[in-house]
Amino acid sequence: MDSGDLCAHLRAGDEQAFRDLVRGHHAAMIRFAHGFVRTRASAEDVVQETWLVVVEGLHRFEARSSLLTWIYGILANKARTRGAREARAAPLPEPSLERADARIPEADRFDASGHWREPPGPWTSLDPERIVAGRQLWRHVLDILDTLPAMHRAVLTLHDVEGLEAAAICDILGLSEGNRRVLLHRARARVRLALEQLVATDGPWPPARPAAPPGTWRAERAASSPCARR
Amino acid sequence: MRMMPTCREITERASAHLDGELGRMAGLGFRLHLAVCRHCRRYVAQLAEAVALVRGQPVGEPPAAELEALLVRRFRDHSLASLRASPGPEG
Repeated sequence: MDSGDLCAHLRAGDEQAFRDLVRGHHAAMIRFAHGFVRTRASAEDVVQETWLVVVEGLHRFEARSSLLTWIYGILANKARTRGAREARAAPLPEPSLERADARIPEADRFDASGHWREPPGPWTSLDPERIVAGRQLWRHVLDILDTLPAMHRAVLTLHDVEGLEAAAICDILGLSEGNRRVLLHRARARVRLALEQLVATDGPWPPARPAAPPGTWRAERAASSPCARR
Repeated sequence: MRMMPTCREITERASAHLDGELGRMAGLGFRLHLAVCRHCRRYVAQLAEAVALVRGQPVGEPPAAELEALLVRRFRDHSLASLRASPGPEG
């Protein structure tokens, strides 16, 4: 189903198309929201509220802006409002992670002339099913995403998981194009660094293969992604 | 402008390179540097693999059955209401 088809199916009241939409994005939306709010339960709440708004507006939806841009715009507003309310109600004693982690993660690995002092370590296979420290690599990647500061996580989710365009991401998060680029790169660089550390401390390769592959992979779905790209 | 960026500059521009967002001159300097620096080749290749892993993650947990049922009910109600409101060209 291409993106135009999906929107037409939704306008026509196709329930399976609606289920696919919800199932395909629910978990990524919770991860996105959790960056802004304190608990997973809060994140689930704002995602539920978002779906309840979306379900009422789907039929008025116009194709000029993509469906996902609209959905994430609603979610970002709700999550940030809720996050700000939580912060007022119970301020955290320590300074925000966002500021502490703003610099490029490899910054201290260069000498004064800008050459590698501590170059990147080698990687062997990064098969997502590879078992590292007792779990599949893709599970570690999800954990890494959950450690990213809110805006890094938000930009990475919208760009690399949901495949939204740069201009849409800037609209949703209220970012300049320059800030979007910096946040995206720092988020990716942190994922690379975390993988480098994870793989470097891992045992011998290759390990035993796991029995069953997980269900639907996002990359396969991306080809037929609902309204993700205009 | 200096033709050849430093290793540090390469790591800062690596995402823009992967996304095809470097300009012509910056792109040329980037590729020249990679041609002579195996550390940066490794860095850029690893960054690309990291991005591929993020892109390739499974869709994840579906919503709880009760929530999905609620949403589908709401969807059905609004579909019926909106179809009645705008019967289309033939209706």
